[in-house]
Amino acid sequence: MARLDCDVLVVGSGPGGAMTSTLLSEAGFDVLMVEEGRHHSVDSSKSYTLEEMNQKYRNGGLTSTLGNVNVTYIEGKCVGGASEINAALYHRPLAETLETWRRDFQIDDFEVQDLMDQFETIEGELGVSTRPMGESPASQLFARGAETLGWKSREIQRFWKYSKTPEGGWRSRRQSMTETLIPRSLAAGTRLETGVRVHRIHFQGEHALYAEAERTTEDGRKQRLRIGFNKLFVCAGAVQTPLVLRRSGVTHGVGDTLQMHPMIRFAARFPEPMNDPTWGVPVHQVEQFKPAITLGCSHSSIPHVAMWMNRLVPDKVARLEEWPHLGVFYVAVAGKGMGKVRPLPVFKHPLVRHPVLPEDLNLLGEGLSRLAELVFAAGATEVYSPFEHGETITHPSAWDDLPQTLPSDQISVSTIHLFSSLPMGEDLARCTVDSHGKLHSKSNVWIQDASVLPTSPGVNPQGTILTLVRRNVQRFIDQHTG
Amino acid sequence: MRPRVRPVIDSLVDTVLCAELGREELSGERFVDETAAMLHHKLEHMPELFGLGMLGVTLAFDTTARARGGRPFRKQDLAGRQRCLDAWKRSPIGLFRSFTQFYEKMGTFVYYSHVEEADAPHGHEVS
Repeated sequence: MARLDCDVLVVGSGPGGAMTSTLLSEAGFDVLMVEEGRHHSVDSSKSYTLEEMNQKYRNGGLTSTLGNVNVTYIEGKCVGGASEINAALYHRPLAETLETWRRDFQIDDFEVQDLMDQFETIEGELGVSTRPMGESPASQLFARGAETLGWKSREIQRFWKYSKTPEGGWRSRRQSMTETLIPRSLAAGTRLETGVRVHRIHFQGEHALYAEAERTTEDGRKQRLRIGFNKLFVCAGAVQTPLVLRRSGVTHGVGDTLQMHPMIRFAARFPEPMNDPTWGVPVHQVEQFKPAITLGCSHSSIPHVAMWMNRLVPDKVARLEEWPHLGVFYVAVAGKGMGKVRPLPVFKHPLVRHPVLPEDLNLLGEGLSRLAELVFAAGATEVYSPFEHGETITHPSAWDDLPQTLPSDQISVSTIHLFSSLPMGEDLARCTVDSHGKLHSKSNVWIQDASVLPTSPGVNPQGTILTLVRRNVQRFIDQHTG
Repeated sequence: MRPRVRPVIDSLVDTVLCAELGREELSGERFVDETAAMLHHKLEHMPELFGLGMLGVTLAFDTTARARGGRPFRKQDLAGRQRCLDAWKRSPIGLFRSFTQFYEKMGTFVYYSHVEEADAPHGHEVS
């Protein structure tokens, strides 16, 4: 068995791991970061394509929960994690949400103003912006629909950078971890090992000693590894982090409270062209019903539109030939259901059970009804039912009763937002990690990823994850340096 | 199990794409084989619990189709295959519905991904 040694081991290189390794390396710690996936550049595959799914998604994007409604969830398996594959939307959560977390989970030193300062730092460091060239046609339509209905909506900022070309056009680049924190981390001295999957951590009492891992080389050869460390940061995401801990015998409260933002999409047709491949994902959202319900525009390439049009769509092929007239839209809700992550004997992948509660289904139904209202107000002529046996509708009143009648056996629910599997705080009945991410039951293990969010932030969570991790790791540095 | 399942996947993809494209048969149609190969690849890379389950259910679907059409699914004509698929699609059993949903949604997505890549490669995203 090969051996690696370091002072600090960081498991995972998504937003949590990238931020952790960067701050620790810059503070002078000897950091080794291990990542199960490979290091691909941000433009090594086109966004939202089959190629990208095969290259950067865990299990090619085919991971699912089990429950009353199975939810397909997506995890990044590459250097940079989810930041390489999501829409890079950036939000600050509502101050009320942060205040509720502080109070209900008894989080120490969690003042809203301090956190807002941290958010501001993140925004400056990573490059958060709106589109300088104006919104895409799909976003403009969406905004028009919201305005007609008198609903509050806005263009959402993204982790994205824009620059003018000499010809007067625009060049743009996603500010994912491989573009921002990972290079900074490496420059500060972090050692990065890819193709390394940590199976379990070995403890002596409360003290973690070493990690047992497997390295897969580019040509598929496997090598067992033993990684020694003094301090361990597990940043593998809301599913993989509890999986590693449970495999290692750390079970109390671990992976018992997984939450998500369940999402349903539908496609709609407009009289005018509103879709163009060079415009990318539209970034307008309705704010009116947040944090419970978010309505927005989705990526709408031909494969995605085709997938969200069921077999009852009349003349589907002819409609797809007029693809620029078609767009995909989504409703996402702040789900209240709590799921469980459990390792399975023999298998590498966990069993993730998650209930979509009746109130969450009601919210999804309400959201679909409102979304249909919006796209018709924006000028849509047809909305294609997201239900397996649902007919195309031409007027929003057809879905007036959806909050009460959502056919849960006919829906496809998905999510990219998973969190809260190890909530942070001092309330020992609810919290597995302390107010700064250290496992309550262990002396040298910290969790710094989406797992520690106490509940749903009600918005795209990447900005919140980065901010909390930054806060927590700075505290660690203050406590562990001269 | 895997060599036995490939002809069933081929038949499933053929059935799904015939319905998708409104065609009676797909001879000469581009990307049908590529779609079936990719679905096979996807099944092999699913989490073990789902991948093994899906392989088992695919074989069970093929076998139990005898009760409906007198032959395994892969040996029935298109109308018979579509009846078998529709029956599972409307089944009260969630697993059966998930099975048909996987082949229909992924089959459609993968097929149009190949079409898009060949016919209209994306420009550079400026958003």
